[in-house]
Amino acid sequence: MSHGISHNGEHETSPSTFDNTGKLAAILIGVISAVAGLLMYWFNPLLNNAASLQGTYIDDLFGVAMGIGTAVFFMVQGLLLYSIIRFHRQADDDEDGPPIRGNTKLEIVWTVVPALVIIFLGILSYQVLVAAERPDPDELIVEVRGFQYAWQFYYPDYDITTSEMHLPVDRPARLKLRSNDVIHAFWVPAFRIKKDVMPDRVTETFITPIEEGTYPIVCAELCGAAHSAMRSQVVVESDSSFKQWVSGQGAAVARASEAAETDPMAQGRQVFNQNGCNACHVLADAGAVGQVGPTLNNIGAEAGAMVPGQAPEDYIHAAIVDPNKFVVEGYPANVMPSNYGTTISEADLKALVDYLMAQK
Amino acid sequence: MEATIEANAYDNRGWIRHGGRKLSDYFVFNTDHKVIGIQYMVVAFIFFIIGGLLAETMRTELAAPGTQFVGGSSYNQLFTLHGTIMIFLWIIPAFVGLANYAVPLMLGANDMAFPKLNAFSFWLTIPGAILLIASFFVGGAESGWTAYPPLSLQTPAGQTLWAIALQFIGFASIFSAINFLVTIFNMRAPGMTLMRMPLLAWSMIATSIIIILGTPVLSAALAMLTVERLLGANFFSGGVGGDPLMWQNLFWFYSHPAVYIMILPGFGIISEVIPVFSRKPIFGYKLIAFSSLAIAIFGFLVWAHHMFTSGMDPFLRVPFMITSMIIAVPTGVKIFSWLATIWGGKLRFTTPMMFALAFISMFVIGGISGVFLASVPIDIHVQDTYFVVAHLHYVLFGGSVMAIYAGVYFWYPKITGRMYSERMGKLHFWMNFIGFNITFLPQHVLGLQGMPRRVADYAPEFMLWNLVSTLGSFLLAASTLPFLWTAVASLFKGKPAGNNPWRSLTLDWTVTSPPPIHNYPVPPVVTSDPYGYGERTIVQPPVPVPAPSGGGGD
Amino acid sequence: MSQTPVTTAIEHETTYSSTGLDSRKLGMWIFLATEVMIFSALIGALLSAKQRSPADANDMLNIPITGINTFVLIISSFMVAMALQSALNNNQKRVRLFLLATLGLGATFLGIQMFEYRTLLHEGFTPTTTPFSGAFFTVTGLHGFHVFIGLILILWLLPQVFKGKFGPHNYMRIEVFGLYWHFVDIVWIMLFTLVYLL
Repeated sequence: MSHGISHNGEHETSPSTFDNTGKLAAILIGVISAVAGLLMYWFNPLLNNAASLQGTYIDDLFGVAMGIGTAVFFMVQGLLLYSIIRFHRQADDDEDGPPIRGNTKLEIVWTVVPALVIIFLGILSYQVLVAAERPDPDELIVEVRGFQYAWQFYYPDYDITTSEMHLPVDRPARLKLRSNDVIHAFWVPAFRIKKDVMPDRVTETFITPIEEGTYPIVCAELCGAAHSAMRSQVVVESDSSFKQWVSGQGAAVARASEAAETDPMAQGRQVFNQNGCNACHVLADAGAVGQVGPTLNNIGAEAGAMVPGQAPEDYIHAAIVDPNKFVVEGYPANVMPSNYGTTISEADLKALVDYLMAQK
Repeated sequence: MEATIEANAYDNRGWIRHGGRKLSDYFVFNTDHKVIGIQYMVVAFIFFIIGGLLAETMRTELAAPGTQFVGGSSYNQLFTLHGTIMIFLWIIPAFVGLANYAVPLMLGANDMAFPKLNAFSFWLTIPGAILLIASFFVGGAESGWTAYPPLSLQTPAGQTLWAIALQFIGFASIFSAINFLVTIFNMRAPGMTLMRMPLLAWSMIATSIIIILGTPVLSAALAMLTVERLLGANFFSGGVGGDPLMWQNLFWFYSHPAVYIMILPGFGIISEVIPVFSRKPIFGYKLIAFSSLAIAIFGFLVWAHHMFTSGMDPFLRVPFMITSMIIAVPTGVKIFSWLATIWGGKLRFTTPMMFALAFISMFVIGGISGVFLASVPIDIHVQDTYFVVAHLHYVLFGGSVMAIYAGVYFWYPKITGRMYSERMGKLHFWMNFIGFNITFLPQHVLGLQGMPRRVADYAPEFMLWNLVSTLGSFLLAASTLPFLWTAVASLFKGKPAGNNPWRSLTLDWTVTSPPPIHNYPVPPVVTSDPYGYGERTIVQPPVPVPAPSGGGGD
Repeated sequence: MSQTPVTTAIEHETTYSSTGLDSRKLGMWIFLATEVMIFSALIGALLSAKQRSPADANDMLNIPITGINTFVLIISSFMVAMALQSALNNNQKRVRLFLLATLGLGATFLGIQMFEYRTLLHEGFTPTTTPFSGAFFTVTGLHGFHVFIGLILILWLLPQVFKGKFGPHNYMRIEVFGLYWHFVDIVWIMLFTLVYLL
């Protein structure tokens, strides 16, 4: 092995490989990178048209990051490709390259410049963060409940509970999120807003929708077997249609409590839909189209045949509170939450069983 | 120079050579660091194949929307096991194996500082691996490799086995880190100061520091999870006095630095491969060495960037954003230093060099998306989406796995005494490189467009890029075949490698290939760092008589 | 390494150290760094659990008995130090005596702790009672496990002691064991303060 130069210090008179061709190439790569970065920033093709005010801030920030990222990408790949093409060893050349061990100036530059870029991006991110989470006195409060595997929305101003979210366009909304069981994450990709839904604390997030339309709500934190089915939607509409929707919902609640006296099934249907059963099961009467668990359209007739000797209502009750004992063939175990016995009240449970018994 | 190195061949001295070991030595408690290195690498590779098959099952399911043949909890078990295996039984042990083999040789040491502890570490991994596989058959862990409570408290018994398995693997990792640190501090050949060490040794110092300070925190968290599952203590469960965020804090305190456990040895390997095949000294030795330490230290200050959307204190997100972004600086330093090493060199495109160059190219993409994820507002949108899946695979596959392949091809001649097949190696490289990009590049778009991670089913509008990704993954999986072919066939048919086929200047290439069982009968004396390419004005000191010059100078 | 015919290499292996530090001692110090992190994480979790528990969650713990137990462990730590000193003085009899004393005191500590566990469980202080009680059993249990490992290490050292293996030139195993034992002792003093007294 070579003794070589006995220390690692930089050579004062190191041979240069930075000839005119190299300089030209470096400049060219720099220009291409800058142009590519600017184009990427300008068009921001991967993320734009957010449907919320916060989303537009995030998209703009993403555009800046994407521009910088693209420039860095082109620079590194360009230098790499250029080196691969130009500094290819000739077949008969067994000599070593020039013994250049470093260049203090260059090393300072590529430590300091990235640091400055990072600081710039950090400050920008901070500003966007502050702007995106700014409360507003006029905001609409929505209390979001997540549970395996459905969403529920409560509007304290109007005292209505729904399984679909509605927001008036251009009015700031503050979401207060809470989970009944495990951690979920409330995500509306079109709003660019995501917040974890915790079982032990209320989390908050801010949304100002700016674009009317219907957008998916997605659970983004793994929450169990039917995680991918835990979806809902948010409807952004004009203030007047929102008010109309609210009064419709209020009327529906009133109707339901009225109907409860005349229609014994109404309470059971409500329990079915509000506890997320509809997310996983098909049940025509409740308008449920979930694809995870068995279809329940005919459960009242089928239940008696499931376990020999067991009364159908006992079977349904047991299958709700201890689902793993009665996994229907062809469906996986451990999918259905096993805590309904504690989360649904005795009366509601009875209403639910009666309701399901009536499905024939 | 070349001639003098070859002249050091020990063949005619009649020593029992490492290559002369019996096959059975590799199946028992053997304390030779070279045997243990190979044991680690082979076991890790077997788990790479298992983890890969799990991934292919998932990708096949994801080829089309809807649930075709795995859904619900089975799908959750697949990605939980996939993540756990790839991290704890493939990347980490594969690097431990490579470093186990190479580092003592590169330092001029005869073995690790604690050979028995070294073997113990390996054999502690095995019961961990068995338990992990067993967990799959008793209901399986299905809460992801991150195992967030309360979900991980709900899931079946396999989760407990999973936690105990990681305990074994974690302690194996801690013991081997202690071994590496003591070896690197105490077992260096005379004259090898810290600043004359090969850069792989520096990156192993940084890696080991992270393991020693981070892994025990995971151990503690796993212990709490186990106690909570088995005895009903209330550490993490929501609503009954537990704190689910505490798990996240403890878990990421380890698991973010763990990302550096999985990439720093790769940095080290790349820093060895690039100068050899560029025929130039590494550019900015000190900065590369110290940037590894900087990454190790900063790595402990960034964990909460995995929790930006959780219920953590909103204000605390800002300092964590800044520390996370700062990590890009020492990482960038390395990238630029490698580029400057290549610049003006005389590049030889052997398979390890191609993997090393691909490493730079791919890792940069993972690094850039990493800065995106560090920015809180962007993270609010892309957290827990396929963007993260793409990012982490660019770092851990495009980075770590490419580096492992670079290292395996690089040391293959040293380990086996024979050359691999360049044709197969290049075929492997191109299939791997192209398959990898087709698989993971589209996933960035999927995440940005709104596809969450860890789902067996997705909205129909994501069909196209998912299908592309799945097709790419088949090519990626197939790329393993040429590798396996040359790795096995070249053992028997490869051309004899000689001591130093790459004309490298590190000490490991001064011994025979394969190295003798006892690496250096006489400790080599070192007078400079091993990157003096182009400075080879001075040759070997005279060979002492009658003892062999164990590699002579540096 | 026994296959190698070159004896100089073996000598080199056992005596050479680039830093001059003994590898076993360095290894133990690094291991203790790991241990510090484990106990930091667990103690942190314990303090957090305590905050989430009723204020009187630790009222049932028996401070006087545990105080005596703490004293027992401190004395045992002192015994290890004496054993090391005796090895340096080449007083074989005292090495044996002090190491046996360490073993006895360590076993006493574990015995008293078992007794305390039993009483607590009997009185309805179980891992499920409060977040604090769960953390209490986890942390003190892990510490007890460390004491147990220490006792096994003493049982491994004792035959060597009785063969008179240790002396002024060969004491590293006792010293390294002592480092471990002192650490276990210090952890207990912290636990006693944080868990019982505060």
